[in-house]
Amino acid sequence: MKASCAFMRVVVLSVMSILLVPSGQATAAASITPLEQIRETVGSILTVMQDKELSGPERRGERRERIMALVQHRFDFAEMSQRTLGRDWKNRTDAEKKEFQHLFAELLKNTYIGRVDAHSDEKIEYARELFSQNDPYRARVYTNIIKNGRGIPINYSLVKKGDEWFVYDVIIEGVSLVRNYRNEFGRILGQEDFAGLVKRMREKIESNEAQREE
Amino acid sequence: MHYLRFFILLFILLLASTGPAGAEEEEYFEDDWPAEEMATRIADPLEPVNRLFFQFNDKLYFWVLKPLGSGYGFVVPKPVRTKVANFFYNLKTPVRLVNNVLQGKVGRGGVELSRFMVNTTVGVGGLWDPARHWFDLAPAEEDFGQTLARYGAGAGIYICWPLLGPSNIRDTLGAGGDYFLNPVSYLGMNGESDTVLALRAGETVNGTSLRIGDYEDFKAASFDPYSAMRDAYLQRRRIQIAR
Repeated sequence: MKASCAFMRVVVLSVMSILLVPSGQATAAASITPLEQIRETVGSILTVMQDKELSGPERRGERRERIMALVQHRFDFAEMSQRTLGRDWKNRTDAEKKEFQHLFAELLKNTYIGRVDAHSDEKIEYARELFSQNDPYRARVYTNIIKNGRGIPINYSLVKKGDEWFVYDVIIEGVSLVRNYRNEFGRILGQEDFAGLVKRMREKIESNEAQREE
Repeated sequence: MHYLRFFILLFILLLASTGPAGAEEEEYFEDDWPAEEMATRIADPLEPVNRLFFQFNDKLYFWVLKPLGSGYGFVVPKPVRTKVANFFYNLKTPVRLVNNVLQGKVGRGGVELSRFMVNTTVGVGGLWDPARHWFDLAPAEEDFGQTLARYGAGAGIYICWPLLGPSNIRDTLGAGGDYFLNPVSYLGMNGESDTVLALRAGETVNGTSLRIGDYEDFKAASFDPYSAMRDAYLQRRRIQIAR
C-alpha cells in the first residue's frame, strides 16, 4: 500500500513537472507569433487609454484617433468585409467594395473600441494561441479580460500575411463580430438592395457619432 | 493515508482539466462558413410576442434597472460591489459542479470543487477569488440547459422572457433545474420568501451596476437589436454546449 502511494506521488509529480514547463519557450521562433502580435496591439491600446495626459474629456478625440490608428493597423478590414458579405461580395463593383469596406471598418472600430474602452481599467490575461491544423496561415488567440472579478473571453482570429498576423474576426463572449454582422446584413439585403444597406450603415455610424458627442 | 489519497485524486482531477486544448477547440476554426450556414437560425414562431417582451425588457432596463443600478453604484464603491457579485457567484457553485458531473466532465467538476473550497475559506466566504488569481483556476461554467443539450435535447423554439431575457424551451427547463441547485432558493422554505426576494433583487441590482453601458454598446452596434440578440444567444449557447 505504502509503495503504491509513493509510486503515485512520483507519477503525479512528474506529470506536473511536464505540464508546468512554460510552453512559450518551445515556440519562441524567429518570426512574431499571433499571441505576441495581439499582446502588442492590445497593450498599446491600453497604454493610450490609461495615459493620464490623454485622459481629459477635451482630448477624447485625440485618444480615439490614436486607438483607431492602432486598430486600423492590426485589423484586416478587407478580409473582414469579404467574409461578412459572403456571396454578395463577388457581385459588387470595385467602387462598391471600397465603400462598403470603409463603412464597415468605421462600424467595427466603434464596436470594438467601445468594448475595449469599457474594460480599460481591468487586467487582461493572454491565455494562449492555437494554430489551425488545416491552414498554417490561420490562428486564434484567446484572451480574457478580467472585469469586476469575472473573466470575459475575447478571442481573435488571425491570418498571416507576409511576416505579420492580422485580425479578421473578434469573438466576444462566444459571439463573432463577423458572423453577427453577416446575419444582420443578410437580413437587410433580404429586404433591400445594396444601396439600401450602405445607406443604413451610414445612418448607423452617424447616430453612433451623435450619441458619443452627447 | 486517506487524506493523502484524497489530495492525489484532487491533483489528478486538476491536471486532467488543465491539459492542452483538445479537439473541441478546433471546432472554433470552421469559420469558412458554407453559404447555407448563414441561414442557420433558431425557430422563432413567437417573434411578435417575443419582440413585445424584448421591448418590455428594454424599457425595464432604461427606466428601472439602470437608474437603480446607477444610484446604488454611486453609493456603494466598486470593490464592494465586485465582492458582492463574487459572493453570489461562489454560492452558485452547486449549479456548475453538478452539471459538470452530470455531463461526465469530472476534471472540470474538480476545478469547481477546488475553487469553492479555496474561495470559501481563503477567499472569506467567496468575497474574494484567490482560486483564480493565485491558483489560476478559472471557473468551469455549466448549467442544466447545457446538460440537457449534451443528452441530446434540441433547443426548441426561441423565447424572449420578460425579466429573464433570451432563452429557448430547453434552456427554460434548464433554468428550472438550476433553480433547485441554487442555495438561495432554499432560504424561502421556512416562509422567509421576502428574504429570498430581497436577495435576488439585491443580486440583480448589484450585477446591473457592474454592467452599465454593455447593453447600450450592444444596441449602438446593431441594426436590429432584437434579432442581433437572438443570434448572439444562439451562438453563445452553441459554444458553451460544445465546451
